[in-house]
Amino acid sequence: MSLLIKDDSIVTPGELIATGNEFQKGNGVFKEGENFYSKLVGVVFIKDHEIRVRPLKGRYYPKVGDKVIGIIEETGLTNWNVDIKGPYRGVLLASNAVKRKFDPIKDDARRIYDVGDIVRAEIISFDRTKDPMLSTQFPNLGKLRGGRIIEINPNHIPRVIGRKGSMLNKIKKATDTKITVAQNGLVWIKGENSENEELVVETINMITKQAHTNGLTDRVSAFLSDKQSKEDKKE
Amino acid sequence: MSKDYVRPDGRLKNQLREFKVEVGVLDRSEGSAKVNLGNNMAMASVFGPREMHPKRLSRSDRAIVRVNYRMATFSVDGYKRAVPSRREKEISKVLSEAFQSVVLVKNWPRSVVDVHVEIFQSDGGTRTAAALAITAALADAGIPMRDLIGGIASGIYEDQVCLDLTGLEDMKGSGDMPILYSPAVDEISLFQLDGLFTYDQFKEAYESSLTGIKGMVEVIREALKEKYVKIREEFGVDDEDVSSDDDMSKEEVQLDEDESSDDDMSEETFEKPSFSAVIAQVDEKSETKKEKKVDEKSETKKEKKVDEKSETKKEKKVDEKPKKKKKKKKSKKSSTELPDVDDEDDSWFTKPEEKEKEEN
Repeated sequence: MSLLIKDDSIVTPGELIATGNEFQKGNGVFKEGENFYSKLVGVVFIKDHEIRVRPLKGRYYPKVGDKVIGIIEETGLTNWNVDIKGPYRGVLLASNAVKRKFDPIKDDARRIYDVGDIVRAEIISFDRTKDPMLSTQFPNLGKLRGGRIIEINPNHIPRVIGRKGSMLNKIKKATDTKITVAQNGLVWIKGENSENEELVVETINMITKQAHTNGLTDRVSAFLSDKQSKEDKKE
Repeated sequence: MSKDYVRPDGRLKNQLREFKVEVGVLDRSEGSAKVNLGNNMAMASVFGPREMHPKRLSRSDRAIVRVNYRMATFSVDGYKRAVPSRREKEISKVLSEAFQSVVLVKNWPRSVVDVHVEIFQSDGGTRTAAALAITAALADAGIPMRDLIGGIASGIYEDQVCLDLTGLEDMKGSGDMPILYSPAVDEISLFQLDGLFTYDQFKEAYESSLTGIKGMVEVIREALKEKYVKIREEFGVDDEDVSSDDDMSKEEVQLDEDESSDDDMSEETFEKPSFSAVIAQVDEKSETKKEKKVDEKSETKKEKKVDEKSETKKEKKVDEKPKKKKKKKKSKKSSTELPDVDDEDDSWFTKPEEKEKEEN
């Protein structure tokens, strides 16, 4: 009936975290008898007797309602296959892509989205037996033009966003760029010039590398102001 | 006499060779590991979970762990032919099946976790060295597993039971017994035996193998933690205050809670049947907890935007699962009719219809 590992420590698969019935299992934990074991390499997080392990690595797993950034891989007559960097391919039907009616005889799917295009889409249906179905009908969804895309670990997306978007807003302000973060680990960045974009990439890489440490916001703002003062000196 | 027996390379009977694990050695794979076990060197890389190709090999209820074991042409004395041999195919199959039992494969139906192990240097017990590299690489890739796997090949050399045989002992000895074992869940995932063992010899080899494996798994655990601990030490993290700091962002907590409601369904499926009673209990608890949480949420949040969201969420959560889907769809349709509250600048989006108009 006790906790064997300190809160916020790093555990590996099969490591005994706690024993006793007063606990509940959360994500990343499995229970055998009275013992709670970790499933992952991750950070232990205990809240209200619920034990969770937050993964430090791992691929994106689709979830209904997620906004994702995808790359069009294949076009059909009335549908597209979209790479959403998960274990399954996203399917975007023409009826879900545009608001008006799509007529496969008159309309050409390639004129809406072509192979290699980057789209921001929402997952509207997904379960264990079907591939995720995407939609670009809702506001702020559609093709992304220009800018650049980086792929980061989807588990670190909450850290990049920060509390109520604080981290993201800080980066946006400091670098004067447009950033769209998607749940599947792709980040779209568009700035006035490529130096700004590169600064954002550098910052995000720093966040993902130090995602499991404390006081990250302070370090990021220090990093950004340091970079800016250097640029000012150059000018 | 038997206790002081010294083997050709100077080791005692149940002394292991030098064992070194390094994690995250390859950039382009999801997870990777390099293992040095005496003169053996194995490197494993993990890709996936991803779509299965060819499609017909996929299973509709689980993922497949597909191990590809290969020996480099320069890994043996002389030259090994580059064509996959019968032995390599057999070890690939056997390792696939061993890891299928510890990886929580029911998380991703219809997909595959590809594992490639390459032996660069071989000196007896390559399949256990390969298995050690695979566990470290799988864990490094963030793939959920019930436990890590450790492995040792023991055997009989000059009528002595020896642990962790070298190539020479394996060739000249009269018995060989590789074991893959998971200490935490106490399961054997691979057991092969070649040659003749008396009952006492078998017992001795078996027991010393298991104790040896426990030590090896601890070495792997340390290696897996090392790279994260290093970064923590570099930035002087105090483990004490967590919740007060910016770390536990509200966004993050919300996301996690959403996940838990979805995950519960899939988690039931891969638990052993004997624990079904326990699961039922936990489910009841978690449901009541969720309701409480939802109540708290709606009370505390004052912002308009957040309120709207939480209300829709509330409906979803309290409803039973089959109803849930219908509700979700309905709420989405209605959301398209409502004016968009988002004040974000969306001028950089070109909506598909607009583009159409432009072109026409």
